[in-house]
Parts: sequence; structure tokens; C-alpha cells
Amino acid sequence: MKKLALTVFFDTLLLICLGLIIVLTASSTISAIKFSDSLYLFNSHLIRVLIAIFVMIIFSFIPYEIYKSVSKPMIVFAVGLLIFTLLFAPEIKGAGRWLSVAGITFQPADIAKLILIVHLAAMLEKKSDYLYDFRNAFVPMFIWVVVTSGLILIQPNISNGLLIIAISLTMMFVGGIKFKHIFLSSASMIVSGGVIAMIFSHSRQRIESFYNSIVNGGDLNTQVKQALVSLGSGGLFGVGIGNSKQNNLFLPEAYGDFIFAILGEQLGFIGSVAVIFFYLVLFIAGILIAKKAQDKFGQLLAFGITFSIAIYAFVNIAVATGTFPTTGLPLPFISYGGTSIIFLSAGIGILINIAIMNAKKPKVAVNNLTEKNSLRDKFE
Amino acid sequence: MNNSRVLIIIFAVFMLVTILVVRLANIQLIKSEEYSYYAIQQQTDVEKIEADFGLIYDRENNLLVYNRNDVTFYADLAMLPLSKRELIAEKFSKVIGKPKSFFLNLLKGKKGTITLAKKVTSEQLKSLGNLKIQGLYYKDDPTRINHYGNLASHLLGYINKEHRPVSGVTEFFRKEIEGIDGSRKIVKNAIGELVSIEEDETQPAIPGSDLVLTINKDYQSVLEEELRKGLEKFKAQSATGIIMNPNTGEILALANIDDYDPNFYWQYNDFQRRNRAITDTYEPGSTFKPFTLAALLDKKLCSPAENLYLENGTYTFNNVKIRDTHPHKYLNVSEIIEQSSNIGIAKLAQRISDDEFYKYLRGFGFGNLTSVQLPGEAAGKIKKPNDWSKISKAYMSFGYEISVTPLQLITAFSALINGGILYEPQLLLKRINHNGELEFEFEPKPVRRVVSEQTSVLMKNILRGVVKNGTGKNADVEFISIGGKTGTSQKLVDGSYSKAQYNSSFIGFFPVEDPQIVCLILFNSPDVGKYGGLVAAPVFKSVAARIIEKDFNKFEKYIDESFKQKLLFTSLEKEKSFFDSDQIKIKEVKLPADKRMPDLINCSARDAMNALTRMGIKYKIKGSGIVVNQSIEPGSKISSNEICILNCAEVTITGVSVY
Repeated sequence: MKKLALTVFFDTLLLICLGLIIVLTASSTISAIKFSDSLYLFNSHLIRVLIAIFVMIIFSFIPYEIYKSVSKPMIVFAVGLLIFTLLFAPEIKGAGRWLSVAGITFQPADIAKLILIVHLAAMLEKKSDYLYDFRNAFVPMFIWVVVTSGLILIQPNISNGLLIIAISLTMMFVGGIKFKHIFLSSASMIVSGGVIAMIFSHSRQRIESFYNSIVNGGDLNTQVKQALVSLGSGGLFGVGIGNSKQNNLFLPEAYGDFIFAILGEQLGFIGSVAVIFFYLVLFIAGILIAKKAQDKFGQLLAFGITFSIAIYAFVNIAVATGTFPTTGLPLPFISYGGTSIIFLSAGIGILINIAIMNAKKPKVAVNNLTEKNSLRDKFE
Repeated sequence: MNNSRVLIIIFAVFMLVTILVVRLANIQLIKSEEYSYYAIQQQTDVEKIEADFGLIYDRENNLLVYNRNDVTFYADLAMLPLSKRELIAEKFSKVIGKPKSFFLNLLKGKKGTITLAKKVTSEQLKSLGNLKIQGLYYKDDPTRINHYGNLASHLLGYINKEHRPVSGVTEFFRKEIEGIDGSRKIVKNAIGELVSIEEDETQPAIPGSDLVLTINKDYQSVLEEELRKGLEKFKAQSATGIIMNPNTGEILALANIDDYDPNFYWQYNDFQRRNRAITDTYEPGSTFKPFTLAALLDKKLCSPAENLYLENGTYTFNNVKIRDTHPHKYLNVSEIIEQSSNIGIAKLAQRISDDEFYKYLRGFGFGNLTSVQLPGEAAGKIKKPNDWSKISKAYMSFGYEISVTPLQLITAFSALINGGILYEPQLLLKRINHNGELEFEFEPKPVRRVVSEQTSVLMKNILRGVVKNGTGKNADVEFISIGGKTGTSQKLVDGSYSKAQYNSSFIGFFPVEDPQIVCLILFNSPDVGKYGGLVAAPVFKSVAARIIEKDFNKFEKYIDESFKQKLLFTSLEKEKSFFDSDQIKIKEVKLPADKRMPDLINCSARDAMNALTRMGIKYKIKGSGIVVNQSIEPGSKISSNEICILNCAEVTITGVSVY
């Protein structure tokens, strides 16, 4: 179990360090032009990275069981924060997503996501005996999911909201909620979600442009086009670290949501696949930690954290390669993206703690788990 | 946790990863070439480095034409911060002298790149100070400067706004003077700004060669001044003058008034810009008589002392009346030229066969291009004997039914007095490439012998008589022997000879015993006076007198002892103005064979830098312009670590910086 904890720790560290290098190479031009200091964005990223590593270590020492008891007040706090954001956050690029506390700007959605995962894990454990029950098990969980993601969706932050729904439903699916309930609710949400997406102009545009690109075979938006040029010009081995030319303002958000394209330009196909591999290692290690966790809360918490990081990473890469429509999601641990790296690291900290706890009392936990699983299987 | 459900999720994630890897392989491996091509297209640019045009000097190494290092300012409105626009407009209006509102108006937009100020001189650039503002930048935009304005404009030509050499030697020697443009590969950003230069792919420009012309700046300015004065005095339409060395064909000066200022060429019309001395033909009239006589003398068909009956001023020849201005009964052959008798020369011309006469005229180069190193030369027209009427030869003998350019006439006239050899007129004394190597050096180009030496001697004496006793008296200068011939020809207007419009000309040379200078003066349609002897001859006289004064050393040996003292006195006074600040003599750098310090004083800083770099000497330049001081003495040996400090100063002439 220690091995898994170390794997997660060093894999994350690897991704963070890679991120530092790529952020440096991707942001220097824009930093020089906007702030007349080519290290400006890198420096602010470096500070956040140091905080993130610190937070990760702190959280890895906090026994994860204590979240179970405070998950309800935490989710209430998160929802309050989202409402506050909705009412008071200043609008940036047509959406109010950011709050500023004591000079630190952060996205409440990032906190809410983590708290929702914790709370869902706690609820799934608490209600593990009657998960089949629509009214008593599914509905209370689903309400939290809808409230939280709904508040994020109407910021508007469609992509984050949708991914949070997807992560929540996956957790519920893995946690043992009846598939029928999940399917029906997600079907109804897809319909209503589609309607909502078409109401907000910036998400509608993105969907339309992606639809166009598939139907008419071309006319991708500039970001995606430039991302493909970046990746393509990287070839097999890349142009080399520090030799990016696409960072000369050709690729918007080169250091943010589209950082994977600059990475692919500099490190080539080999580098891009390696990064995917590192995320996959994190995902597998996380799943193994979840599998070996001593209680259901730990299992589902570990799964939720792991799955959310993997899904964010792969959706981001899918966007950068033009596989999915353009969304505003950061590449975990690598993107320059404000405070999201801190909350992601907190999640990794929790994951490591779960792994450490497993190591302390292995046998009991495994037996306990198998029992419960077999019990639930009988109910189903 | 439901294991089978987790497996489904793991399976889904692996599916997604597989899709992503396939997708990446497609983008980064299969389509890599296509995207790379597109990337290079948008990321890099090949920029031309324009080669400097060569400079032009006169034969005394006076710099006549150079390139001023101007720049042109551009503003990228998308990048230019709104807050700075007021400041930019204010600075530019102060330095460039246009109203502030003009610049504010230019800076109004939000998109696109605008030209803010063209041809900003290096002084103006300095006074603008350090304007480091995003979106504001400048590029080299050298300006061709003809330092003396109108001086020799028709010979020098200019470089137009499209950077193409036009007219004069600038156009004729285009290939040599243009140099070879270089190129560099630049990395640019999405808004087209330069990010970096790929040094190893830079092809430096090779500057054009410098031209040293055969013309003498002093002769040129004397000629232009006198023609201008004459034009005013005689109210003529235009005037042309050429000074040549009859023994080599070197053109020493050539001018047409009106002329133009090449620095502002666009303000002038085509007539003003045209080098009429080579493009426009005219019927030479009496200045042609010496050629007819030379043919006769050369064929020994008459002798200078032979007497002829001149019909009292009116001679009916083949039903056409030929008249003389001053009726004479008898004159000898010399006197016929002195008095410019049409009847006399027409009668004499009948002694030579048509073919023989034609051969001589072609021999003198009439009807052929002179091959002068200038664009746009006309060949003139001389009819073949088959096309002649019964009176053609008579008319041609005194310069009608034939058209020539002024340059053709003076080239042919040179052969008449230099011992009988026709030389090609030339303008280029030396051509020196950017490394200081001599690429071309003048050599006289004899074309053919036209008349014998004896004939030439006879002609010189007869032409001396014209000035001494005949129609050319007004051209006589008391201290040197001058020979020449006047000409007054009716202009052909709409196919018939005008009674009101004349070409009045004088072609002369000195000293008669050893001709050094031949000079043609031609006035087109003077209103006051019409005869060449009254209009052109006095102008010739002033030109001759002033040239001798300016170049006293050269002519001293030909000057009468009794006049020398007087002349010396006056020329000493002139000496002062001779070295006025108007002169810039920029030396060429002469590289010593071994590694010794070259003499760089009075060389341009640019040349000095080139020379030192080539020699591997370290240097520091203080100031800009022309080297006034060097820290290592010329000729001294250089140790490898020594640094030569060059002090430079800007030579400023009437607000124009040279360099």
C-alpha cells in the first residue's frame, strides 16, 4: 500500500514539474507583452505550485475518516459559496466564476466539486443498506448533485457543471445506485441540459462550431486550429523544450486550457503519449487504492477523486486534439489555471491518506469490504 | 464499491485513452508534415534586406549623391495603447512640424497598421527620444540625396519612390549601383511582430558600387549658372551646354536649362527632367559648316586661301534661293567660315560627290548613337544619298536637312580639332565596389580617324579666325586663344522653317594650339537677339573665362604672360569661396597591404567600421558621421588587443546631415 501512495505522490509531482516547464515556455511571450516581464505568469504559477505541494502533504496526514462526519456542513457551505459567487462575483469574459478572498482569487466550483465528491461518498456509505431505494437513497444524493452543478451551470460554467454531474453519477453508479435511476435521471438531464446549453450563447456557439466542423469537415475555431498546428508541427519528437513558436500569440490560452498543444509541439507524439500515460498511472493507482480502502467511504472517495482527475485530463486532451468541442477546462496539474491546482493537490493528499490508512490495517478492511459487498449484492 | 461497475468505468476510460492516442498519432505523425508547413508559413517570414545604392562622386572626389539614413514610422493600432496616443501625437508634431491633430487623426483607428511619418531623418529620430511604446516601430527607409540639388541633375538621375533608378548614370549603371539585396528569415508572432532573427539563415546585402564620374563639379556649376543667366537675358525657351575634353571624350559638364531637382523629381514635368542634350535633335545650322569644309579639305578639293564669288548675297541654285545674312562679293575659303557664308559653303559642297560627303558625315558619327553612358539617347537623322533632292547637299552643307543631338555635334567637333580622331563620349572615370576595389577605370575609346591631322590643323586655324575676325568675336577671351563657330538655324515648326524661332549656338574650344576644352552652348528660341554670335558666344566666353579661373593651374601654361598677374590676383579672391562649407570630400578608405593602421580621417564612419572589421582591428566609435580623430596613428603596427577609438562628427550642411 505504501507503494501506491508513493506512486501517486511522485506521479503527481512529475506532472506538476512538467507543468512548470511547459507553463514557462508557453507563457513567456504573453508575459513579456502584457507585463513586460517574461517570467511574470511563471512566477505566479510557481507560488501556487509550492502552495499546492504543501497542501497535498498536509492533507495526506489528515485521517480521511473525519470528512465523513463534517461532509454535510461542508456541502452546505459549498452551496452557500456558490450562491454568493452567483450574486457577487465580478464578470470576466461573460461569466462570474471567480471569488477573491484576501487577494487570492479562486473558483468556488473547484472547492464545491471536491466537497461534493466527499459528501456523495459519505452518503453512499451511510445509505449502503438501501441504495436501491429511489426516494431515500437516490433522491437525496441527486438533489445535492443538481443543486451544486446547477449553481455552477448557471454561472455560466457549462463544461465544469456537466463534468461534475458526470463524475457524481459515475460515483453513484459505482457506489451501487440502481442503474435504472441513474439512466432515467441522466436522460432527463441531457434533454434539459441540452436546452440550457442552447440558451447560453457562448456554449451554443461552441457546440454549433463543433457540429459544423464535423458536418462540413473544417472551419474549426481558431483555438482548435492553432492547437492542431502546434501538435502537428511537433511531429514524433517535438521541436524541443523552449523552441515553441506557436507560443508567439498564435495559440490563445497557450499556457491555460490549451497547454497540451504547446506540450505536444515541444515534446512531440512521444511526449504527448507519455503525459497520457502518467495520467493513466495516476488513474490505475487511484483505482487500486480505492479497491483496497478499508471502508466504503474511503473506496468511493478515492474513486471519486481519481476519476475526476482522469476525466478532467482526458477531456482536456480531447478538446486540444479537436476530438471534443471546445470547453474551458484546465489540464490537471499542468495548466496555469489559478487555484484549481491547489484543490486538485488537496484531493491527491486525501487519496494518499486513504492509501496510508489502508496500509495500517489491511486485513480487517478487506474482509469487512467483501462482506458488505456480498451483502449488497444479495439485495440487488 | 461494485467491482463489475468499476470495470465498466475503467474500460470506458481506456477506450477514451485509446481514441486520444489514435487521434494524436493522426495529428502528430500522419498529418505532421501538413501542419508543420502551415506552422512555418505563419511563424516565419523571409524579409528582404535592401542593398545600399552606390554613391556618386565627381572627378575631384566631391560627393554628389549619397544615401541618408532615414526611417519610416509605423503604428500598429491594435497594439498601441490608447493612453499613449496623445503623447505620440505631441512628440511627432513637435519634431516633424505637422499639427498635432494630423497625427491624432492618423491614430484614430483600432485596427491595422498605419504609416505615421515617412522619411524621418536621424536628427529627428534623435529628438524624438526614446519612444518605446508597444505597437510603435520604425524601419530603415534610406533617402537618396543629390547633395547639390539641381546640379548635374540630367547626368545623375534619381531613385524613384518605388526604389527604381531613373534617368542619368543612376539608371544606366543600374546593375552596378543597385547592389544585391540580402534576405533574412524572421520569426514573427501572431500579430506580425518580429520575435527573433534566424541569424544562420541571413544573407547580407551587398551594397552597390560607387561611381566616380568624369564631370567636374566646378565646371558643371559654372556652365549651369551661365546658361541660366543667358536664358534669363535672352528670354530663350531653353538652353543646353556641354563641356568635353576633345582628346579623350570625357564629358566634363553637361547641362540643360530648365532642369530639375532630383530630390523632388515629382514636382517637375517631363521636359524639365529630360536630358535634351542627348534626347532632342535639332538642325545645327552654321555650326555644321566646319564639317563640310573639313571633308573638302581632307579630300584636297579646296584650299583655305582660294577665292570664291559669292553672288552678292543671293544665289539661285536649282530654282532655290540661298541667301547670306551679310552679302559679299568675294571671300576666300577661310573667310567663308569666318563670315558664315551659306552661298560659299553650298558652292564648295558641290565639289564633293554625294557618297563621299555622306561617308564623311557618317564618319563624324552623325546619324549614329554616340554610345554615351546615359539612357534615352537619340541618333539624329541623316538621309542617305539616294533620298537626297538636288538641293539636299547644298542645304546639308550649312546644317539643314540633317538633325543632330547637341552631344553628337560636340563629339564630332572634338574629332575636328583633336587631330582627326572620333572618341566615344564617356561619363565614368572609375567604379569602385563596396570592398574598395577598382572595378573600372576610364580609358579613351577612339572610334575611328575621320580626317587627317593636317586637315585638323587647318580647321583649328580657320576656327580661330572665326573668333578673331568673324562672327564669333563675342566669344573671344583676351588671355587665351579661342576658336569656334557660331550657328543660327531656323527651327522647323510644323514642317516649315520658322522666321521667328531659331536655335542659336556656339561651339568653341581652347587653347587653339593644344585644345583642352571643347564647349557647346545652345539656346532654343531666344526672344532677344537671334544670332549665335550674339546670344551663345558671350555665354561661351563667360564659361571659358570662369573655367580657366577655377582651374588656373591647368591652363596657366597657355596664358599670355602679360595677363597672368591680373588673373592671379582675381583668382586669389575667388579662392576663399572655393573652399566654402558647401564642399564635402569624403575620402575612401585605403587599406594598407600589411596589418597597419589605415588612415581613416575624413572617411565615413560606416566605411571605417567596414575596414576595421575586415582587418580584424577592434574599435569603438564615438559619435557618428565622419571620422575626425583616430586613437591609433595611421601606419603604426597593431597589437591584437589594441582598441582603436574613432571620434566622429556629423557634417551638417544647411540642415542636411551627410550620412
